[in-house]
Amino acid sequence: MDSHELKKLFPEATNIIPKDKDQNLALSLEGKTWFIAKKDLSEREFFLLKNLEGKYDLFKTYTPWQNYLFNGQKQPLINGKLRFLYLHIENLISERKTEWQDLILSFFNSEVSSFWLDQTVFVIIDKECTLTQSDIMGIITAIDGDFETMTRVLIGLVWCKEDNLPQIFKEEKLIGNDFQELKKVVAIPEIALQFYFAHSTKNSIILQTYKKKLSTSSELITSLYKVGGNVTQASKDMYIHRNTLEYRIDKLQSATNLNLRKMDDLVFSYLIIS
Amino acid sequence: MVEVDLNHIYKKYDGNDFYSVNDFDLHIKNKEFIVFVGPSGCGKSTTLRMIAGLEDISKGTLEIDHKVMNDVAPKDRDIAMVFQNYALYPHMTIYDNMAFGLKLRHYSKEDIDKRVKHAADILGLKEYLQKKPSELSGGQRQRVALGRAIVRDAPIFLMDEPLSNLDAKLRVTMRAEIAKLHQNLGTTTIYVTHDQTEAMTLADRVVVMSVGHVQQIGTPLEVYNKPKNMFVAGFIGSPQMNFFNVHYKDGQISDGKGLKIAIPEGKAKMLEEKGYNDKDLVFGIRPEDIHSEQAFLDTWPNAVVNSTVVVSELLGATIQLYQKVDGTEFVADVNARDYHKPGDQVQMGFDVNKAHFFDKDTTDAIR
Repeated sequence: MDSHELKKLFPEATNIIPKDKDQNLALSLEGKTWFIAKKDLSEREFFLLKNLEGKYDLFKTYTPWQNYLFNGQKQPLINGKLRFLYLHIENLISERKTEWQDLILSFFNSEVSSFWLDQTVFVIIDKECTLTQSDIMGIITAIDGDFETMTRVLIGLVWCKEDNLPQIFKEEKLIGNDFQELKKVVAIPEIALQFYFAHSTKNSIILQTYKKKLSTSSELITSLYKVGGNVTQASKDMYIHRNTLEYRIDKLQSATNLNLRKMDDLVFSYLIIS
Repeated sequence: MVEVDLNHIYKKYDGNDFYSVNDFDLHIKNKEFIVFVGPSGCGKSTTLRMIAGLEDISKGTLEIDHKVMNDVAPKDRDIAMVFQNYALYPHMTIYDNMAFGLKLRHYSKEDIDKRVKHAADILGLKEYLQKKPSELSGGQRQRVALGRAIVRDAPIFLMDEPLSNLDAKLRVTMRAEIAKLHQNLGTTTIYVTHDQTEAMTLADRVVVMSVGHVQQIGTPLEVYNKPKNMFVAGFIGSPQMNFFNVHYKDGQISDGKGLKIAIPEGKAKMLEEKGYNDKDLVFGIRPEDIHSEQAFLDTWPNAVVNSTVVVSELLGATIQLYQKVDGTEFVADVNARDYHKPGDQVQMGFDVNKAHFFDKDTTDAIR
């Protein structure tokens, strides 16, 4: 069932959190919470829906993003760039799942999409890509403190609509499975090296795609890498002004979120182009 | 009354060959303000997270009020935490931000209201309770983060670099707020920072850490005046202590170049008794113990060094003179009246009574 079908059957269903939440059923559909007032339901409808409340497996509804990523269906609308955030949550009580989800998503703009991969992994499709690792750390810290959960986040790379997102999603998830419990919030470049040591680079759709994206910046990346990220020395080696080099680094960061001033990102970029 | 005991605590992450925290042993008294300080990666946050229950303890026991807590869930340890990065829920008012955790824990409305207003009163946030986070300044938002901990009314506060994201001026203001808060609430507090100024100004006692090991535990004055080794001596104090590689013989130290200083009798006797006569060692002296006043130079002519000023930084009441003596650089913190410009040849008097000596191999202090 999708949201259109739900609205056909229950025209009173709404996304807006009602004041008398207790008098409503809360159902998760297409990554959003739908509220239906109990008074608008017959006894039979109430009984059936009540048994589905919170039981996402039984409901078996895929969001447009899940249909695209897993079932080969049409790509949802993407304007500009996006990234996947993979949240692995422990100790989240099922009664609080909806509230937890709404709270996490309140830190993003209204265009954010999301879905539950399974009972413990929540995926956010972030189309702003503005929250830093530090910001996300702050969000998770606050939410873990209040909900008494333990959450770890993997921040995916930045992509665009032309990229092979289903394969990319699969590979990022694979990298995430190798995620050691060192930090609460990690970005792909920080753990990619250890992943790619153990896996053949030939089969990596991420490396192949990013190789093309970074091909015009290979001199920049190589020069910086050879001097350990020293911007002054790299600018001398490239016979350009330091400000010019700083500008090129900023430009690359704006397009890809890779910050060549950070060693992990620099090494990751170097690994891709070499 | 809450005491915390960390009994020979170790932490090793899966897949690592080494321990991230080694033999951390500390008794924390009721109401004490303890600061863990050290550079990034030294294990201070890891230790704090083990106390909170956010990390497992590999070896050793953690006791709170003599009860072993190793396997107790974080929510059951009655600890409130304040983190460096602490997001406020953007669509909630400040009141609701502070109340939210209590609501989830099913506190009554009346109890929540009382706690939130009490915390807001202490933190000067009463007039902001109905505002949203975006309407607050950075300092005010950090105070809300403190408020979320206060409303918990926990007997132990853990603070993980809460001021690191603030600008320098705000850090100074908030430091004073935290000190005031501790005085008002009297809560046992464990505070983590990489900033030695924060450690020195806030702590009852300081735990200096490096590469997973405790280097020294003591009051701020103890770690400043009697550092146990070169790491503590160099890390605590700003500007950093000056270090010279010297040779000691018969009451004098020399670097074989422009540095030649007589050592007072008491210190000379100590060095000789410890077996350092005619041996290489490291001579350490703090910038404020190097003087340029004529009176000092006249009184201690055997402790005078001729040097060249490289950089002169005027700070207002004092000047930091970065100098060179035959290739060795050092810094002196002198009165602003003794202004010298780069290139000036100057004479500096070393107050050797306040100097420190370290073994060249072990880097331990020689006392």
